[in-house]
Amino acid sequence: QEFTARIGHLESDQQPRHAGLVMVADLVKERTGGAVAFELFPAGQLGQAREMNEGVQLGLIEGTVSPAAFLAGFNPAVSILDVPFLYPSDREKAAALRGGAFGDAVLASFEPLGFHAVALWPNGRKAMTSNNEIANVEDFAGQRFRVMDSAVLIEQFNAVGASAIALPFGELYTALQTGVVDGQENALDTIATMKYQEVQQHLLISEHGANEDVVLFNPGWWNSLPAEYQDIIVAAFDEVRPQVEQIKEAAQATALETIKQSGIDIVELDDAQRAAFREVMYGPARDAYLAGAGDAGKTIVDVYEAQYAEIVGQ
Amino acid sequence: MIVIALFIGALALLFLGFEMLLVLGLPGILTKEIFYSAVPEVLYGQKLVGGINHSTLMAIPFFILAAEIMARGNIARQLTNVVKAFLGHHAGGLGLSMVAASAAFGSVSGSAPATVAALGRILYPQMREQGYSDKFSLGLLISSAEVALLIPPSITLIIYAWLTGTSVAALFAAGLVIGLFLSAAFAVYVLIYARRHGLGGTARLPFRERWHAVRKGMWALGLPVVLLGGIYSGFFTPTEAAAASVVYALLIELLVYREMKFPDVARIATSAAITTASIFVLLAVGSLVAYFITLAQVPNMVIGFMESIEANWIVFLLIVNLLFLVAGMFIDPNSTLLILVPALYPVAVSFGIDPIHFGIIVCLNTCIGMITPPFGLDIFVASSTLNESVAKIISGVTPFIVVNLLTLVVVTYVPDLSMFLPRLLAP
Amino acid sequence: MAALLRFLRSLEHTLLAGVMLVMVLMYSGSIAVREIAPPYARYVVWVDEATRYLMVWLVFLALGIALERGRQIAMTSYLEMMPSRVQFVLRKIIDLTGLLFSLYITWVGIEMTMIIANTGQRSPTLGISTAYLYLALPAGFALLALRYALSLAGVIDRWSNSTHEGAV
Ligand code: NA
Ligand code: NA
Repeated sequence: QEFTARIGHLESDQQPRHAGLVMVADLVKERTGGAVAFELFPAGQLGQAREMNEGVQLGLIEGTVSPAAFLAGFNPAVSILDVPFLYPSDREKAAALRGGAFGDAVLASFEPLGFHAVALWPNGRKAMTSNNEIANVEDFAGQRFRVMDSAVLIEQFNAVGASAIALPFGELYTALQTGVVDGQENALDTIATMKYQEVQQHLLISEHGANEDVVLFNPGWWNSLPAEYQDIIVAAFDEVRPQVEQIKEAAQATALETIKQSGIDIVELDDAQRAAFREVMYGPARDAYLAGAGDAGKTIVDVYEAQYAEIVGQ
Repeated sequence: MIVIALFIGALALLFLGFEMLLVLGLPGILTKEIFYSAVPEVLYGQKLVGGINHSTLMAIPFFILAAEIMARGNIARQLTNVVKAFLGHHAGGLGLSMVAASAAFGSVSGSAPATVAALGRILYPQMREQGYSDKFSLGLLISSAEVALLIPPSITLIIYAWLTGTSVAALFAAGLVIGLFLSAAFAVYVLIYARRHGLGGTARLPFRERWHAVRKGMWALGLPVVLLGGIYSGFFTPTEAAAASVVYALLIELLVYREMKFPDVARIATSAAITTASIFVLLAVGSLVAYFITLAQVPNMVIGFMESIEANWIVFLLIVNLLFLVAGMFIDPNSTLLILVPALYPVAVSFGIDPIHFGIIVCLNTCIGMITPPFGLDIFVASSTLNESVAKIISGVTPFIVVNLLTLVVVTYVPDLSMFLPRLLAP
Repeated sequence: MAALLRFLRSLEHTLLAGVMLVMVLMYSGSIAVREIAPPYARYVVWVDEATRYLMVWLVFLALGIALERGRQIAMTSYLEMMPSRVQFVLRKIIDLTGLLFSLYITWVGIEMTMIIANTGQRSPTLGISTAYLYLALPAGFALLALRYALSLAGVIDRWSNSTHEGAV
């Protein structure tokens, strides 16, 4: 082979992101006649998320598939993806946003920063768990939720009167068990894998947050590829995207069955309730985003709100 | 060929007395220049900083500082007086209390190095005073601390659970059994040693004197209460408990015992900083070595080898044991897991090995890796916190490694030992 | 020269003690805020990151003084068994190797810091440039290089003073 890309990511090799990357790697190998090879390193073997993103920028590795939440330090504009209720519940409408003008604007925001972003990949929707009731907006007041280091996510909980606590992922299970925090937010399959249902009493299937992955390559490596190979790679990521979403949805469905067996109390929001939550959370979180992301953020929000109105019809 | 040359070169540097940071750092740089010359030099910068830029590592400097404050103040003395008052008359009583204290402290701190740092400064001088040999005491200290990774809560088991999708609760149940089993094995060894050397056996203290020791040691006894109580009541996480224990120790020494003054605190803080640095710089350069082992896809080579010899499950587990022991010689425990488990786990499942059982084997191997020379993180922690030579600690830990390996054989080939409690809890 | 070294040492002492104690205060302070006044917890989310950065600085800043005090971990028992002439030569070789190694890492560290400063990467909760994290590397390894150089030149004797200096 002529071109090798070492691609690192955070998920274990049992999870959908890795499965998707394996499919892309196979397609790319086949269509370039073996000229381009992807070497995959799952589970943070190449370092933490920040280090892998930095590594792509510096040319230490060629690529990474990073959750948007870990990219804010590199590109504040990407935090738009942390804003709650960004996507409608309807998967096709969401895909139209992701693959349309909005998605393109997010990808383009990486270009001046030393990354070549080729795709957004869906990685499920977040649900919330807690040891207290969380079925209604009012229930959140006074509760403590663990979040990742993100101003937008902190504001999301602040908007409903809850406190955001930043804790390392590895300490979360114990922290939920002992009550250092009351609750957390993650995709259903993450919840089931980490067995948070063992130490939590209430699950709210809110789908409030979109877990979006950004596929990033080192620009130096990318530009060394013939245009034909570049097209093949971009096409492969786009082509596999619906399958990744299906695998993730299937994983979430299986996870929900597992979670149900624990006897945890489960509430699922309907469209009207989601709208009520969106009403409270979206605005303050978007404003927190705009405060951090400046002009680049303003452009993206304008594109987003226009396209959202068009698609959702509001 | 070149790899073997680098390995021998590193060993030569080690035995010639080069600092460990050079023993790991020089081969790290050479490996990059020879095999990965296209990778930019800034890789060194990223890995050296990245190797220590972890939130959970903060427990270690905090516990080192807390132990240093207690050891130079009054708390350590009061705590050991209580222990002696109750266990002094038992043969091997102090040795047993080291095993018990490690299990209790390791359980909450979740960090074997933190356990070594905290208990070593307090109990090691006492053991010497009571006639235990330096080597035995050092060996017992670092090996009994291993159970920190097994007895819940354990970040090591959580990482394994995440990598493989195994139940954390089931792993914790199994870890508890095996952790206590390992502690019991060390306790038996302590009893044999104490009998052979005629240790312990001071006169049994009357109740009044025991009560006196407890009353005098009240403030010191408050520390474990604050630590354990704070964690189990959800007041703080294990890492935060480390910082809380510094605050508690400082308040007691400065305001209750009042022998320590602020300049003492500053001097102790500097000393704790130096101790931390001498250990963490090894994590920093070690992460560079780990990175190249990852890039070279070493675990996949091993699996290829196993397929070629058509290994059965017994041979597989033996190879797993060997692989972890060797990896543990050079790499820190959590990186070892990240590098090896994704490759080995599917093979283990294909042999019908239960994921929980395999997790415990992996965790126990990781534990042992921390005390085996030449690179055993806990060896260095003991060396640095107690100012003892690495060679002395290595010779002291050797019999304990034998005890460990015997335990490992039992745990590996008697799956029921790991499995009975998880099965009982979730039939 | 000697006065300069004394000044450097006392500066290192003060910095290390200060950083260590600030880490404790900040970290335990943020727990207190969370437990006593949870709504204010969001104002101290930067503490985890700040403490971690300080820890990285603490480790690298202490490298030099650790070497000077004989506190860098090494297995010297075989070295000490050798004839004194061989010991002398070996020690000079170790010092020279250590000097070159730490100078190289210092140089790489400066390069790294400047590159990161240019990429504009910021820490997620503190919001400061990540270059401040990497700056610890050249700073610390420069101090280490200085100690290796002083030992090579015979200005300091780092081999015989391997004790917990400052023991009460
Ligand atoms: Na533990
Ligand atoms: Na080892």
